[in-house]
Amino acid sequence: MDRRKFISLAAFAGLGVASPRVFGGDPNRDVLTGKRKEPLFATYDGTFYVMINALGGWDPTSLCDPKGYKTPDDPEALNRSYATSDILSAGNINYAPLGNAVDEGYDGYYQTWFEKHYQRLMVLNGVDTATNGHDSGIRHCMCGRLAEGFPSFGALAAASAGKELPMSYLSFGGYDETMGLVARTRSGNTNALARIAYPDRSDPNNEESVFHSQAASDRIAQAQAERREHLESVENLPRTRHMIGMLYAARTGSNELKKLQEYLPDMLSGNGNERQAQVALAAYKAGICASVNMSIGGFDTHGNHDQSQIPRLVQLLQMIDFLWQEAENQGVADKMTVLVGSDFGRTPRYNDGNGKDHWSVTSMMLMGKGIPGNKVIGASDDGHNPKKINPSTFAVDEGGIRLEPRHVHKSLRRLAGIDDNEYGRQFPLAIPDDEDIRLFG
Amino acid sequence: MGWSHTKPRTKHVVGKLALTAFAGASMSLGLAACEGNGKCVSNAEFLRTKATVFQERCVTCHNSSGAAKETKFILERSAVPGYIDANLRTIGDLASYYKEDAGKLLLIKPTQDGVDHGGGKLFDKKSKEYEQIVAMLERVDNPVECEDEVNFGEYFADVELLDEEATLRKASLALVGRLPTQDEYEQVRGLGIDSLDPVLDAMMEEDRFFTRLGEWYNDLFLTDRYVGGTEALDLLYAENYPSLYWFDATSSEALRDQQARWSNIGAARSAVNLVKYVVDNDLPFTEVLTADYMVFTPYSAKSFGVSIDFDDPEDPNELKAGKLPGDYPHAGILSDPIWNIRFPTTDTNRNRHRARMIYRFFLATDILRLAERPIDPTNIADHNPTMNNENCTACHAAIDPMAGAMMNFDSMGQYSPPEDGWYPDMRVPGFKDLTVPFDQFATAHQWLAQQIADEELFSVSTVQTVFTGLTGQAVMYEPNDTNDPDYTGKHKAFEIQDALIKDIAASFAEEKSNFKVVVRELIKSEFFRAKNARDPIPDDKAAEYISVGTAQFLPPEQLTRKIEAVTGYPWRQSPTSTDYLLSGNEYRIFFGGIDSDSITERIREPNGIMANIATRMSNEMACRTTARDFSNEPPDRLLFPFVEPDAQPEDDNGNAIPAVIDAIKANIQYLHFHVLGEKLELDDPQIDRTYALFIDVWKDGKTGIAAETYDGNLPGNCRATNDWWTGNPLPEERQISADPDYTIRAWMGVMTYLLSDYRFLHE
Repeated sequence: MDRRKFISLAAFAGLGVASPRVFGGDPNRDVLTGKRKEPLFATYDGTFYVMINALGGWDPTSLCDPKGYKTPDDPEALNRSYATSDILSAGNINYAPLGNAVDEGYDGYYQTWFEKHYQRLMVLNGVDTATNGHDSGIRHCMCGRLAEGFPSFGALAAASAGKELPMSYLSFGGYDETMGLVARTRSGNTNALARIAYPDRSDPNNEESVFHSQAASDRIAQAQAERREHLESVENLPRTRHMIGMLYAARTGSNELKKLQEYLPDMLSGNGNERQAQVALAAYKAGICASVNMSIGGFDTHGNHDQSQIPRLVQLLQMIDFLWQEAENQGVADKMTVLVGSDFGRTPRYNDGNGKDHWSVTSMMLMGKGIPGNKVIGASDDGHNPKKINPSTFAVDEGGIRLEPRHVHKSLRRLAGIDDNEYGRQFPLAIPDDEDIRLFG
Repeated sequence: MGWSHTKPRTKHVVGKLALTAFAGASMSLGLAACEGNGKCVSNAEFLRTKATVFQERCVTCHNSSGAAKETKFILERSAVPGYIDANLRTIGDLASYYKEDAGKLLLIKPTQDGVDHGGGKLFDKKSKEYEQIVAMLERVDNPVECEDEVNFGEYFADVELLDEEATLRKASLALVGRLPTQDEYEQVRGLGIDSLDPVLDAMMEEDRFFTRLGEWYNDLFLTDRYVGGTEALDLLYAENYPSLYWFDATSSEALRDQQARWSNIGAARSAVNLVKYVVDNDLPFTEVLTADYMVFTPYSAKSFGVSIDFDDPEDPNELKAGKLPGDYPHAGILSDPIWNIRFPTTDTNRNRHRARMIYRFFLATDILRLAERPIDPTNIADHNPTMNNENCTACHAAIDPMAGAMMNFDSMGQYSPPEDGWYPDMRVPGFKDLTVPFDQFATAHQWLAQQIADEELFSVSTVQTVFTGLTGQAVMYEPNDTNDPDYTGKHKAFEIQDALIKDIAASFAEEKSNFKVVVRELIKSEFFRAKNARDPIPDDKAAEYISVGTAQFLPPEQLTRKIEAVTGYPWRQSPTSTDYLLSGNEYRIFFGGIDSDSITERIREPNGIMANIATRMSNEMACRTTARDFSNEPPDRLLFPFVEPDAQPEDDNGNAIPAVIDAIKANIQYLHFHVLGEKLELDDPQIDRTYALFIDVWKDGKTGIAAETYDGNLPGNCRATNDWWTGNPLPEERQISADPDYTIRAWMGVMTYLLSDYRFLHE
């Protein structure tokens, strides 16, 4: 069976795709000798893609698309927490003056953060998610398509980079659908990682404490390989053949998990958001991970918006800052591309509970490798409605286009060099020529 | 065949004359009763694939919330289960409406041919859309149903099914996490698949089945989020339940902690326990919604202040029905406080989230699939868009009435009827086109429960839940991209699965919503029993069979039970610790499990970490169990009943010892069946391979011991010197520490090989 066809069927049936064997033909056998080739596995040192899912629907007008009140008693104020006249900027990027120097509660964090990161930061404002639904919103943001059926960008990137990697696509939550392109990995208590990395040792720290002799281990591996050949020769149902392939493919790079141990910090942070970054970067540094979904929730502030949303945004910024710090520590900051997004935005008015409800216009932030920094593309009006922009000049233009997640993902795919590969073509983003906007040049 | 033998599983042809009339009327459009290849096209299939104008054009306005909502012509969107049947009925009902001297309304309206149409002129009489409507109306007058439209016999003709014993083994592991007994095997051997019924029924009386049942429904309800500490109790209003923390009065700290834990678990799992109670007592499954009671354990009853006579007041697992104090209006799960808290609401959400979940769990409908239509915020300038704007009403027309019917539960899931009544700017509380009678507002959820219980989709949703529980697969959505080259095959796959589910749903309903009928029928079905295809499946058939065969990579809970069932020992650090695969501090999350909190979706396919965990398990369990099993007398051994621990296949001169070889092979044959479920002849190549593994490891070991490069003793943690469960030393004569001939380590190699096998890790 043709590989492209199988990917399509596997996705329909909710299956992953890892082994080429089920498609007919065996790319792991030498065509001349018919002998099995060694698994083609190499560690990964390409771009590390980090997708930060701010779950629940953040409020960009309280962050990077600031809209304050005109007067303190303005009944139509989009935000009651600051005045429009107090909006700050770092380079070309405006931001809400929250957590600023005068606000002792946040100790000036927004200002600290924007001043530190603006040069690597691109802000996209007025992004139209076209939905108020949580699932569809975060999906749209993280894959470029509103409807079901597309993998997340992280999964696409990981599949393209190396689906054989033992932790190719690591997920801590958010939209992490793989559509069967790559195995998704979750991380639990990292204290258990040592035993997972050394499954052949009774004590992972003692290389002498093996369960079997080396000869016995090798002999078992040989028997397992023969068994696999037997199973693949007798099993005819596509689902069964696929699952056999998945199991053995999963074992291919499993030795490389040992490297993860080398790069994990001796002491992981007690902060869950920071731990995500530490584990993800250690996995990347070990060469076994190509992309990660990080997630932070709590943005669905239907009540007491200001008291809930703003501290959460501070935590998000802290999370991003820690990610960059850790990347610097690991010496990989120059290889990292970061996307930050959320389900949608918040309404340009408060409800009766001082909260804000769902609003389909939002912002996205990008940072890092390949991303032109100190830049803002897109805009919204005073009612937080999206403004159209010229796809070539990015200038606000009534005759232009609305910026949508699919435009962002088209540019991301191009940046990653995966727009036109077999996976990108399998899940194409339809962008008409007159909407072809190249956000990153 | 497996299921529903009381009910025909295929539809039969009607009206050959109608086919002929049809062919003449619309042959030029290719819209005939039969396709060019002679394949019959039923009315349903025609509406789905040919008369697409209804879904592509008409439904845009002609839906329950659209611009034409006040008309009689209301269609369902494709995201709604059963939409084809519903739309066929609607089109059939309206087909005869006509205007004198003009024609049928369904034809003259969209063409504005002598009549006004609110949507304007959409197309003319020469358009393909018009022809589609003509053809559809002709079919209404001359309906076409096709013979053997869903023919299971033909579909599964080349699929090998598990026999009675193999099905029983798989079912036993799936339902109760153990292997069948010899007696159970004998009850079914060679007696036909229906002979499993009494055996399955007996299994469904075991405690372990209810553990599994609880897992199926916790995967939906996710109320295990609150089983830690006193998290569930802390969510309840102490003023409503004064004895919530009754255990605080216990002086012993250890006992107090235990009582607190059990009280909390009973409260957290009250919704899941209701499911268990209904099934255990063979009540109609609809009672999970209509029950005028709640289910308590002896401990949670105390917390809720409910007085019940329990058979064993200290048994945290005993379940009994009772009522919350204060004349609480129970409606099964709908009135469960913890269930409602798990799906919270706010002043602006107004129970819509709960409504969405009710649709999903009990009406087989994912409302959010309706939300995949893009909205434009600049077009939502209406006042109250959820009532008035098409962009919003696509979903809100369905969920808002149900949300209103749940009006009496506040943000903390407590029964608290709103003093000011329901929101006047929302749809009237109700369900579909029915509204809650005003005098029943205080018990609107009870009204809702009854409506749902009467729905066909309740039966369908029950079957879907058990299907996923047994197979690990989500049910398929109907494919709707007719341009997909694999559309026909995918649709066939969907049809077969859908027909199975609906047929079993019908049986379930006929048997007074007997849940066990669903379990039995699914187990006996071809989907559960599909073992292999007799021949390789050709490419052009692959799409049809993509979902056949369960091939489920076992989730943590099921693998945990299988490990103990097969080896006799659990995979955990000590007898009192949590199993490795079930512990959040160990491998549960790594292995694709859920925590019911932030991780709510299982990983069903292995990644590198999961593969390594499985490898570690195979090594550790081989180490723990091999010598221990040998330390027992042969009749008491689970793994090595046919061979002695020191049996060597060759003498010191390298001469084969046939009797020993026979015993080793016999034991390998036994292990292939016991561990992997494979029934093999002694001369099967699989036996030879495993024997070759044993021999090679043994020989290398003997050589190593002779050369003093290997130790003559077993590794410390692989020895059998104490009873693993009690820690007490074994009698000296049974202890095994030495392995001077490397035979035990050779068997450990065999055990690792088998426990890491695809067929052990999957079902």
